[in-house]
Amino acid sequence: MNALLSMYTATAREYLRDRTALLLTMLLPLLMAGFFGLIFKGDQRAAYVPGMLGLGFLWLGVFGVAPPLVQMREQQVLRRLGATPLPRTTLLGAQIGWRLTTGLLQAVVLVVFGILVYGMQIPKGNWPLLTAAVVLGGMVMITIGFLLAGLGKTNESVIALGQLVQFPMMFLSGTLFPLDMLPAFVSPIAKAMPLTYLSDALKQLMLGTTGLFPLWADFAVMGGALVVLGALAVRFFRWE
Amino acid sequence: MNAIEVRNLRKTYGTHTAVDGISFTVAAGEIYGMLGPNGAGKTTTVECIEGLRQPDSGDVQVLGMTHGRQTAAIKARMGVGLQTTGLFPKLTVREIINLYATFFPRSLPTSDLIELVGLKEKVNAYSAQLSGGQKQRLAIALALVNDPDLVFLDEPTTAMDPAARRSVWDLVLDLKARGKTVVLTTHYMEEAAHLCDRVAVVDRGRIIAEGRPDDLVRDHFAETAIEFSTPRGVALDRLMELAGVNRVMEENGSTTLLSTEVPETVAALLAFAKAQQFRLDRFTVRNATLEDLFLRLTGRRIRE
Repeated sequence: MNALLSMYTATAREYLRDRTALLLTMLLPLLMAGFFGLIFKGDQRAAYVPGMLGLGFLWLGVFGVAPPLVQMREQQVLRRLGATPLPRTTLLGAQIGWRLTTGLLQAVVLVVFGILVYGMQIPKGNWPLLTAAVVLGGMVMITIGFLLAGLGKTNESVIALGQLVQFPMMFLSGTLFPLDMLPAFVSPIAKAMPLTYLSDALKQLMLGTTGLFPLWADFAVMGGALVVLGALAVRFFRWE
Repeated sequence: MNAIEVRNLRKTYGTHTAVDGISFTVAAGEIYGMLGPNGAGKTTTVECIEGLRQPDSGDVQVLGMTHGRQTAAIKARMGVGLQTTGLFPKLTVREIINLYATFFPRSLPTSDLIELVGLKEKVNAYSAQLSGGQKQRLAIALALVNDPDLVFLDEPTTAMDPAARRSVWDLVLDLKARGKTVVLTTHYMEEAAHLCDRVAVVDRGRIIAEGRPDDLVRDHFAETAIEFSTPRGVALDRLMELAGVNRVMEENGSTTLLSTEVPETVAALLAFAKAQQFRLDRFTVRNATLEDLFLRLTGRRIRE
């Protein structure tokens, strides 16, 4: 327990002292939300808040999880830890725990921003499910980060892989542009991406609107994605 | 009891054989050195003993235990200083030591360790801000955090200036005085000669000589070395004809005569130099060293 807590603290410190990662995952979604607020008026401004939260989670996985892990591998930090009795599960637990904390912080910042600045009104009964969607969606994106770290050999290749994942998800998941605005052939791609379902669930729960899919379907797909991606991440994870 | 017993250790990477059948034992309380050039297989051997690498074949016993089910118990009683220090870049010296202390059931006070490796002025510096030598010293502090019975130090003084190297040597000798067993790898022969009770000379994945440093040199060299810059235009076999010379070695612009009759050889050499009109630059007479031994056994120098 002591080791888990100290590894969690160490991970948090490393993260908070790395300004690039902090900027990408914490500040960027807020800036984007602010930017959309300048373009649109009235209720439309709040409509982009859930999407920005989804994007923030995507960036958390792609840029906040994968590169730090690869750096720990490249700089032999993982190897040095392997020479101590610290169980690997504790190390991974601390890593996942801190990333999830980051995700929750992101969510709180954006929700508070949405409520205070854009007058977003989250239906009262939705809070428990919204929390569940945030945790589940955060886990899916973190798992994608772990999988990328396993697939890419170097920091550069992981960042390149991350871009490959990021761009289609960002533009084709209905997060930035509504899916009915996009050409028909995009639809199957959109349906294959976890961010589509996360954004859909967040929109329904935060704005109280009806979504593209039933809420239970969003949760089911995210749960399934977590299991499949998790298995792949375990399969490809490398300590050195 | 032996702290380490290694029998017939082998490790290959693809077609490259890194460790090619190494066997040795390290007694408890001993400082054992592995001396050899980069790529000789020292690090791979040590990492197989530490449990960081899985050997292809061979038996490894550490503190009376074997890797597998007992790995965690072994790791609790050993300390490791990696050649690549593997430090969290954005944590401070104090934070890293405190962190590692939580991985073990018992640990030494952080302030004692910082004092021991002389990093008092750097306690609040990120490890990324430390010099190469300071990182090495922090790595040594981490190796000692659990007050281990067995300490592995892989190239502990690479990238250190002579003063820092001296202080690490004192630290290693102090570990021995406190009854710890130390295994260190190095490519500095002075380091091996100064610190080690026994040395294994490693080349191309094999131990090519093993013993006390003085004995090793004495066994292989009854002679004294006379060294000078290689003169231009003088055939080396003519030096062989000088009185008392048993062997002539030439490497990197430096000629070494091995002689059993030092006064006769020196007199003959001076006369020869005068007759041939060449200058004896950087002329030294010294006892043979582990470096000479390596050169004799392999035809190459340890540092190339």
